[in-house]
Amino acid sequence: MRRKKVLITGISGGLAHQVAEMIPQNWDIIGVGLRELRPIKDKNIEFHRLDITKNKLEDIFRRRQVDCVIHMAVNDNPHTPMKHRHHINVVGTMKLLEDCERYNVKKVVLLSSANVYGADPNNPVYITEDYPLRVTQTYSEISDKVEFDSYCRSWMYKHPHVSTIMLRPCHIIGSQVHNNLTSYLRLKYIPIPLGFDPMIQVIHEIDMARAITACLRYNRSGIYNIVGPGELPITEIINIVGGMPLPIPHGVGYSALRALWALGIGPLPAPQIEFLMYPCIIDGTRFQEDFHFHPQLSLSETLRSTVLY
Amino acid sequence: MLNMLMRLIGSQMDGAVDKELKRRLKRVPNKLNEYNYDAWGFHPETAQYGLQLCVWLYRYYWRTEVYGIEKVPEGRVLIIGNHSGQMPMDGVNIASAMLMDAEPPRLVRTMIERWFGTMPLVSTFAARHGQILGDPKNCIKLLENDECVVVFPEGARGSGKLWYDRYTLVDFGLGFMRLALKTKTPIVPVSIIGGEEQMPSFYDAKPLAKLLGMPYFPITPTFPWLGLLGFVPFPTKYHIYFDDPIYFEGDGNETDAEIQKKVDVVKKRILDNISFGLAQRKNIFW
Repeated sequence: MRRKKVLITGISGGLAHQVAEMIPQNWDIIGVGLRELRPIKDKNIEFHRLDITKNKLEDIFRRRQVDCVIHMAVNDNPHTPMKHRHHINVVGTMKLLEDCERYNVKKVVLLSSANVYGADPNNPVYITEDYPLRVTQTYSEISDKVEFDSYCRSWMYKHPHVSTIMLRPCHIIGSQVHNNLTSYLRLKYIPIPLGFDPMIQVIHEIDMARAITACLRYNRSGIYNIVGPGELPITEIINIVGGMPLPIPHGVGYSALRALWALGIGPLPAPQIEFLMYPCIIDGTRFQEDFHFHPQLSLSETLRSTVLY
Repeated sequence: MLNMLMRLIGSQMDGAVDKELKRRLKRVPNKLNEYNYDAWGFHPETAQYGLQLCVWLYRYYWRTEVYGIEKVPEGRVLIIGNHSGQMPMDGVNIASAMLMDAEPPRLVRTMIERWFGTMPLVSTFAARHGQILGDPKNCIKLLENDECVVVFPEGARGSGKLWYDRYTLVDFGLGFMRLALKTKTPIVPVSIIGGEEQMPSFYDAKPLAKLLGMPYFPITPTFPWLGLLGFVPFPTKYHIYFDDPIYFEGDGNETDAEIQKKVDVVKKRILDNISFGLAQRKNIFW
């Protein structure tokens, strides 16, 4: 019997590396990435160092009969210029999905983020997948993420014969992943908006990698929120990881961040503060039921493994 | 932040929280995670100081008498009451009663105004005490979790009513009935006597209220004449009458007219108990 092949884009990233480690032995893995791949134990990976926006990607589909694509070549770094990010996240994804259509890929797993719902004082607790994506009302700097999400969603409805699974996880943390929240939590003095202390959901990278590999087991299509072991106020999280909270009136913090960002030396776009002021708590029960997935690490295990200097 | 502040205060006044409240707070049947938080941010260790203040006011300031609290069923329940008194002390008193005098003790969830969520400190303070942003989705989730939710269907129009309209009811919203039907939740009508006299308002200065972004601007014997001191309500005596739970039939998709009929049943029970309570009452202050 022919061995099934999975193509992982962005495989050099921290999370994708862990996904590759967890893919069952009966799958052949083809990896595509921009950086050199660190070797993975017990796995023989066919690695191609290339940019997914280039035409060379299509050749992999021509030569190998790919059964499944796990698309993780997404640039989340706010410092990358918007034009470039849009090219990778939206144009790159469009090209990849075109190839999937042309070469009859049976399953596509896409990684969006719960951030697309936006943090808002009016958010109910437990946002379900049908909730509007309103982050760009105030936070236009991540409009490419929303466009990615919307494009993938319409592609999913246009191709009902392909098992398309788009995941919207809460904040992914852990020692391998580098994103806004993990670099924030690794600071020694952690600025927080004075008087606000929203609940935050986190999932450990290992649990997230398990969630992604769980998608290979079930032949479904849909958009799914993914949550970890629970939610905690941001100050409690800072206490647990051993940081020192530094309360700053949010107006001051916002203006300072905006000015720094305009000068090109800001750590993050100013509207990112909203995620430290208002809740964005998602409901992950649909994924847990449809994919029989339950996070294995507790809240304390998840948080304590994040800050390893 | 608030947690740190509360902990700092708490370490100085741990003795201020009486053992009975602590014991009862432990028995509250709420689902909490490994750090004792729920998804909305309720945290008993932070809430106990605020709740202690509520309980103190309930016992010694308003000397609240409670009747029929044993009728509140276990599991999910919607408590529907008349709103009065310019400030939500009726909510404070029902919450204290359910915590201290109900068996098992229950944490009361009230649905707060949306703009509270945008205010620093207030939003965190409300969340730690288990108070929830007034969104139907939140309410459904709480009821599905078998919690005890208090709704004042008159809303701000009820608490802001003038002295001449005391102990009458303004129109009830219909939303609570649909939520109860959708989640198959029993409704307990509750009548609160004493709130109307705590801060008698003779006039609502609407332009001022609009200017300040408040739902109403009451002119009372003490407010705004005494400034912030005018916010102190009179120590009237509260009487709270709980009625038998009502189990309505339906799925929540009925027409407004059908829902209105069911709402009127609840409204009538509340009014009946108000007239009964007013007849029983000898004096406003004792």
